[in-house]
Amino acid sequence: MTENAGGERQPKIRIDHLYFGYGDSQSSDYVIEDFSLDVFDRDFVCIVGPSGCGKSTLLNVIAGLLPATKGRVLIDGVEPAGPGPDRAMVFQDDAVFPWYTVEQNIEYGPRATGVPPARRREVVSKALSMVGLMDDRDKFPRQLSGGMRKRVDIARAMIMQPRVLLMDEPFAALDVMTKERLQEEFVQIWTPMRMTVVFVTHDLEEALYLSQRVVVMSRNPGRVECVVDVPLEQPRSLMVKTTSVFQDMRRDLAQVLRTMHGGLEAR
Amino acid sequence: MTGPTSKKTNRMSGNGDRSRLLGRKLLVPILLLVAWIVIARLELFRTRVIPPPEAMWKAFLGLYELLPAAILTTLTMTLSGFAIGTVFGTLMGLTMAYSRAVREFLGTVFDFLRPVPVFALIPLFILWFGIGRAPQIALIAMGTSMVLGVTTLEAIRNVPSIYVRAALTLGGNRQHIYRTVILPYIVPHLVGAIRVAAAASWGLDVAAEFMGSQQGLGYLIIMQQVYLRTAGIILLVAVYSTLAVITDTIIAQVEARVTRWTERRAGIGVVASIVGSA
Repeated sequence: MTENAGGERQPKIRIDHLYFGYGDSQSSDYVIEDFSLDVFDRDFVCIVGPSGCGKSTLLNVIAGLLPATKGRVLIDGVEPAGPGPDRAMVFQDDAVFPWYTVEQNIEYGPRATGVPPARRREVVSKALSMVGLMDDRDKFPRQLSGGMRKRVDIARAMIMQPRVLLMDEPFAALDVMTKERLQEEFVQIWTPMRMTVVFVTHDLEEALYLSQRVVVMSRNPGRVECVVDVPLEQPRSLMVKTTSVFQDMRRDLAQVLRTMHGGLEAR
Repeated sequence: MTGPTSKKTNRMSGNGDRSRLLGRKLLVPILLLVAWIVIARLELFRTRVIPPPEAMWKAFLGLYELLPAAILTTLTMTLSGFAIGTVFGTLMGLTMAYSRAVREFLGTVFDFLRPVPVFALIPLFILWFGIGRAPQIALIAMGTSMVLGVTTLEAIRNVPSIYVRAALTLGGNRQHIYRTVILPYIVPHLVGAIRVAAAASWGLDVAAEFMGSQQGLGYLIIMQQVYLRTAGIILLVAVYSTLAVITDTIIAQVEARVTRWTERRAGIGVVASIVGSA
């Protein structure tokens, strides 16, 4: 863990009075306004909020895919110049390259960043067995189910060992059964690695199950409404969802969202 | 031009089904043939307009010594023009998409050249390059490259942004993304355009040979016209169309191989029936 001169723990990500608007910097129509947040090393932070609050936009700004209008995003104290594998991302939509096999997809990042072949083979086969796709490595994505494609996507991002793993509603398009299984699997994969994760979702149960902190975002403009710590012990099994502590927190969070925006999204 | 590929969907069961299908496919051609014979027998038209079937054989005997050389000439000219045009057009589309500077410098010229009917340039090409193979190949290459250039640009514009975003966050740079995302994505689209361009290049070749060629199938056609040999014209047209069908079949074979990853519609079910693939 890096410490700066003041002895204070340096955050992995520091979002510092961030503004983002699609117009020029003069206009006051911001999607994200005055958003500040510190995410520390090995944190698992979920960002929830009503749809259209700019949570996906925020993730794209952190990834460097969209430029900040005002303010800064610092990764380990440095402002990155653009997108890069230190902030690998998993998307909601199907982002697995359909023209590559499972193995070639997972190999994409190491190849793009010039990892030597021997080392590449090693990390790829580790990643393949991590997500249980060893036997399917020569298949094309169209031959896989939605859940399997999502596993490919996750493995492809995690193989980069990013400083921060960005996840943009990765499980939102999946059916409930697959979603729960993938959540559980993801916890199992993440626990020994504990990489820093920023996870955007509109599913409160998902947020509470996965993360240590839940950031509630407001809409119009998007800013931090409140931050909730999740005191449940990690790693969590799916059973945790049925405990009263969990259900109470879920209810409270839903209440926060309801009072904010009429509860359109809160479930 | 979809004939050769659509055949492989006949997943009928018994022999009876298969022969019935064959019968249905051959019915119209056979009827046309019969109509031709009947019309010729009844002498409804002068033989100069509609020659009788046996005139075809005579025409073949008259031409067959000339045919191999003519086919070779036409084939090399069309295929080299087509190949040059395909490579050049694709590269032009790629560089224009890749580099903003190239797009800005060449875009306007490209936009003005694109709608020019290539045939209108024939006299100009003859003035510039003289009569011979060079202007003919240049003409075919130009027509082909326009088709490919436009399709390439358009296909690149349609690459879903999510693939590019994923590649960027995985550490791909511009050049790497062009090689690993843009190119694989546009290939299936290009193959369609290549088939169109191949078909068009035969037409361009005929036009080019009409304008003062001394060899090739197109030249032979003009000669047949001079001597009012209708059967000879029909025979040569048939040769042209056979060559075109063969090239199209070859391209379709290649297409099936390079688009293995795409979700091909299965040749069964309601959807297949609606889109005409079953």
